[in-house]
Amino acid sequence: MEDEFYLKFQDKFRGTRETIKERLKIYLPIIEPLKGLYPAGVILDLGCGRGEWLELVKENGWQGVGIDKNSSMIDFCNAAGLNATKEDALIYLRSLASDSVNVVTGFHIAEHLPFELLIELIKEANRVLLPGGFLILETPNPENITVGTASFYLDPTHINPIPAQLLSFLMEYQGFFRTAALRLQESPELVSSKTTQLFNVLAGVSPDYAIVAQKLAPPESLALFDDLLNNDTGLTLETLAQRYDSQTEAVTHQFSSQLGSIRTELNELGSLQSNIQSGLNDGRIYLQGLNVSMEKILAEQSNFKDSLAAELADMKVSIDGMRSDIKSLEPVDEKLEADLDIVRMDLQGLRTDLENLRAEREDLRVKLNQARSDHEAAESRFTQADSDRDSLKAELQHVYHSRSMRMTRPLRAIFGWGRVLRDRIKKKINKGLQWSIIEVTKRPRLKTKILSLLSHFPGTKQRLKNLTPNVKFEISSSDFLSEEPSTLSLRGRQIYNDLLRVTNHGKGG
Amino acid sequence: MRIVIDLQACQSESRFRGIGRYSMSLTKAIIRNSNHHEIFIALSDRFPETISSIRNDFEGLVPRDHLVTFALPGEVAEQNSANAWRRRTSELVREYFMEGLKPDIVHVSSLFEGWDQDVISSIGSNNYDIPISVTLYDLIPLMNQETYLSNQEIRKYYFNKIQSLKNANLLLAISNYTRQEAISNLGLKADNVINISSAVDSRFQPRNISQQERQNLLDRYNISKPFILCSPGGFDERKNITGLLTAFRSLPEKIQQKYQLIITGKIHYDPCARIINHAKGLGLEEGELILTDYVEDNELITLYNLCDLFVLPSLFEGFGLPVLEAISCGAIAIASDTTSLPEIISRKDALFDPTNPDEIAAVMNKALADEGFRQDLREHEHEQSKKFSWDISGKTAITAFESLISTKPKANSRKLLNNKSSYQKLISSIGRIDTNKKPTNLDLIRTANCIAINSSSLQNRQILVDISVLVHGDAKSGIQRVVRSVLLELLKAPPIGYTINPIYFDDHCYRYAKNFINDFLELEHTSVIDDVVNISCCDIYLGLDLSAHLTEAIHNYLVRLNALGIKIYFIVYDILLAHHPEWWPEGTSKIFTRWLKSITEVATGLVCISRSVAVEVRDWVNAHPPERAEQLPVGFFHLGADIENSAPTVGLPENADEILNAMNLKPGFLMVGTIEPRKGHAQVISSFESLWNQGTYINLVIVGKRGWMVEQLVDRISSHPMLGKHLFWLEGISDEFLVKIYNNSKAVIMASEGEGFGLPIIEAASHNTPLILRDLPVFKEIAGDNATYFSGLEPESLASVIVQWLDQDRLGVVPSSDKIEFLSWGQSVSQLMDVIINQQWLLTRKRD
Repeated sequence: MEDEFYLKFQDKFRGTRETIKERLKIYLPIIEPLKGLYPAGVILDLGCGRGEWLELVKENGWQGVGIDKNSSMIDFCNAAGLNATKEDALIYLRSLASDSVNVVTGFHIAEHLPFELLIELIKEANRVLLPGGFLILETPNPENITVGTASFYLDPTHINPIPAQLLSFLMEYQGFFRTAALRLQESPELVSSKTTQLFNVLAGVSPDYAIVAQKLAPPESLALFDDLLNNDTGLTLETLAQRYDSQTEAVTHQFSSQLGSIRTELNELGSLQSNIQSGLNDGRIYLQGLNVSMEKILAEQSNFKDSLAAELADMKVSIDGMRSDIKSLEPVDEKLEADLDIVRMDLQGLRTDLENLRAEREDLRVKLNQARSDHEAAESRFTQADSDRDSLKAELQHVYHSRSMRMTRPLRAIFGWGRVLRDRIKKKINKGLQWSIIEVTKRPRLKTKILSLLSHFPGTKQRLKNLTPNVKFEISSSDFLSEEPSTLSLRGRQIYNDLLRVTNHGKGG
Repeated sequence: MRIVIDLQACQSESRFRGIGRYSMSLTKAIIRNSNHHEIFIALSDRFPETISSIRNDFEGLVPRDHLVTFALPGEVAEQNSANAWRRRTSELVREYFMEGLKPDIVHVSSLFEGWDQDVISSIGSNNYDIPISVTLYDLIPLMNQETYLSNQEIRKYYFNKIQSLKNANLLLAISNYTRQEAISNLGLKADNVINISSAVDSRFQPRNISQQERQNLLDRYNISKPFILCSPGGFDERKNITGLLTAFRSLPEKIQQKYQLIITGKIHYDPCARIINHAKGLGLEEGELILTDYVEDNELITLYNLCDLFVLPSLFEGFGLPVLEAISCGAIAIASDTTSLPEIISRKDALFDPTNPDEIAAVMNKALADEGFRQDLREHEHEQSKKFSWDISGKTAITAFESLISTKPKANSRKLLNNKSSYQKLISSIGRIDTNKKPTNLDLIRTANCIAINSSSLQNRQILVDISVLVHGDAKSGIQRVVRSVLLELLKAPPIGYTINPIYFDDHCYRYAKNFINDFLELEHTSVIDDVVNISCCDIYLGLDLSAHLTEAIHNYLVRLNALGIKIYFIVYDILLAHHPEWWPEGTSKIFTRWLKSITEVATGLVCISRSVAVEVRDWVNAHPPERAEQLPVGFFHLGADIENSAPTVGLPENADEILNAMNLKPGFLMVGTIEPRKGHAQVISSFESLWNQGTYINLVIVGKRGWMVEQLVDRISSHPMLGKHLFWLEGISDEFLVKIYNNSKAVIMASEGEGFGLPIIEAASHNTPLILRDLPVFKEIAGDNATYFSGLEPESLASVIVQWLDQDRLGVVPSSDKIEFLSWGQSVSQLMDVIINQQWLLTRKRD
């Protein structure tokens, strides 16, 4: 390949000198303790290219020697004041003495060498290194899938990718004491990022790696480098894949939980929907019911309307009738007025009559009261007489039964006379009363009047009755008869006429 | 043989005396022993207050129709000269009445009556040739004229009576002595005077007197020793009490001290004074003589049983009943040996000369002291007492009657006058009466009335149906419907032997309702004045209508009808007014109770319109015992149903069809009846309101006029929102329209709180309309199980029953009313006549 081409090629695809130089700084801490062991440290850089490493180590107090087969490269380096020679790496190595070099480096040369050369190179490197010295070979990392399958082959001079395990094995096989793998040039953001995309899984693994192998040395020397060789850096495919996986998982998880909640919501929606559905059904039924009632009411209304209409018609007819009745009454009214006047006059006459009757009644009342008081007097006199008699009788009994009777015999004679006298008087009075009673009974009207008065004084009536037990007291209201023959029945009237005839009533006394 | 016994003796004052009691006992004895003879008892209407109790006394002994009453025109006592014409006329009228009875013999219980009493008995003015017999008690006045006949007028009266006595065909003397006296002194044939003796009431017997009773009696009369008893039955001089006293005083001292002298009997002041005077004159000590005054029979019997000796010292007696009483009770009796007394004692050594006090004393002494004599005499007299019994006397009387008739012609072969000529004789005899006092017009009127009444015809009895209220205006009430229906049936088919004569009271008197009946039966109108009612003793008065307002005016008239023998019946529709006065306007209840009181006093029987009412009436009567002597039977009959046959009113209102159509829109429930508080309209309307509020649309049809105390209810109905739609009220519709409404109704509701019958039930049944009834006993009686019943006064009680009923109706299982047995009006009135004429009573209230 044309060196110029390769220079340009490296500029384009590997990166700028500055970039590379920056990257190479990572090795410096590792080799630094060698300075303490071997103060005149020589670093041999096989395939020094644009001399980035050489420049770097020179800046950091090392003596660097570079070897490259590309003359353009060598010119470049020499122009930069770097110690670089055009030489075949292996030949040069073989020319060195054993245990003379601190560090042998080969950045991105391994993939250019056929396998057997590589083995030789490593062997020779081992021989030339001082005890504890390092062989550092950096090469593209086929673990990075895009590197291993695509970007490795950008450089047509690359032969084939070399897995890190092979290279480190080679080193150990050729006698190096220990090796460390350093993954390099990954994106720092990607290292710290929690998330990664698929592309990064494919292309984000550390694109390069370096094997740092150390030649055997006394343990105390080796111990100086222990810590430096235990750093695990870089991004493995596993890491990225796992990161990608868990990310995906997380997303999936998120999705599924979202899905779950959506499902729940869907269920709720579903039941809500069925509620609404049944509500709708109820509403439907209710509506049907309302419809039926509505129909009934409408039917009744129409009936009612009909009957109202009929009533109305009737009323109209009767109103008409009434109108014509009223009309016909008008002439009658006048006549009624005239009749009414007559009635009014009659009424007045009746009122006058009533007044007269009232006056008469008052008279009678006065008379009745008078008669009453008279009879009350008579009554009390009789009561007195009666009680007198009773007490006298009792006295008499008592007196006659007393022993003192004999002694009072003369007195009694007198009393006896007195008694006889009184009896006589009483007899006379009774007789007089009897006579008057009989006279009264001869006058029926008077008798009726007196009897009706007497009915208010049963005591007196009884007394009079006792006097003349013969005279019958009666009021013949039980017959409805009066002096009028019209109060007789038909048969009675016939008999009455016969009696009139035979008694010649009216003629003679 | 038909015997008519004139029993005025039991009506006059004599009814308190021996004559009255004798006549009553003899009559009963004659009835008991009458065999196949017919006995009639004639009474006078001059003593109306006595008639009922006499009827009661003969209840069950003679048929009611055999107790007849004759009417007399007025006062007839002889002592009053103003009565002269009336007296004579009354004698003739009475005889005319007797003739009307077609008797074979008339027996006068007491002839010597009528001086101071209104008793009529005449023999001799005999137009009709009826054999007359007379009970002769004694001729004491005749035999002692100075004592008894000093008064000229009385003397005249007495001798007239003696003359009548002589004219009698048969004399029944109460003792052999009297018989002998009559024969000797009146010149009578021995065959015509029979001694039927006398007897005492069966209560006069030996009795076991308890110590308590004995002591009570003795204490009562202050009797502290063994006693001698005298019960003279009166204190005339002839009883000779003073003689007894003298005799007692003549007894040995230790006898006197041992005994008291007890004299019983109602005693007036004068005789009492006389006797005491005499006693003291004799020196009788206090307590030796006791005058007890009136003693009741059972105490008298006890005295007879307890006395040591009985003495009757009368100067003369007609019989001497006290002696018989005494010895019937097992006492030892001694008596005068005069007149009839020996007939009773029939043992010389127990008799004495009453004018001889010493003899009296001697016999008394022996009868008190001689133990052997006492024993002997007691046994003898006990045997004697058995010879006297009313049955013996009765049988003797019957025998005497029979033999009299066998000699005299029988009634149907003697010259029997037909009614017309009998009447003619009467009139002409009256014309021949010649007295100083001429008859007044009123006398003639009264006489005419009496003759009309006494012209009794057993063939032509009237049923006087009182329809006063109906005549004065048909109120179309429930009662009016019944009255019209019953009246129509009676007119169509009167019971056999009776004429139906509707009568009414026109504020003056009762008249025949001829004009009304002409209208009622749609006959030709005659428009004459209705005649006054003619009554006679076999008639029946039927108070068909409820005429409580007439009570005051007619009560005395009904009493008179009752006294004359007319049977008085009232229809009682209900007595709700007595139990629930609040259902009627104020004051109505008082009028009603007064009516109820009046009819329970005066009625022969009460006929109610249902058994339930009859029971209520009986209970009311038991709680308010009326003043009456006779029983008051209470019966019932059921009303009839056919509206078509009850002289229904007709006439449909113009809008009848419209009303019916409106009513037919929904099931209709019907209430029929005047709107009154008790009919329950308010509850029914309220229950329907609650049903309408629940959406049960049924109709309520109320048929009935508005009544009383229902202004609020009427307002409620008139202004009801459902009026015309579901609530209908038809006032005053005709029966014709009512029939249509019944046929259009689903059921009839009766919610009355009280009813007498419930005519709408029967009317509904006749249309097969189901019934919904309140559970009153009377409704249960009428409808039985053929109705739905409800109880309670709350609207809910009825509403729930109606709801149930509607359900049952849908299922077709409501009780139908077609099984309710109801009567046609013809059958109903037959029942009524059965009660009244055939005496089919349910409940009789016995007089205590």
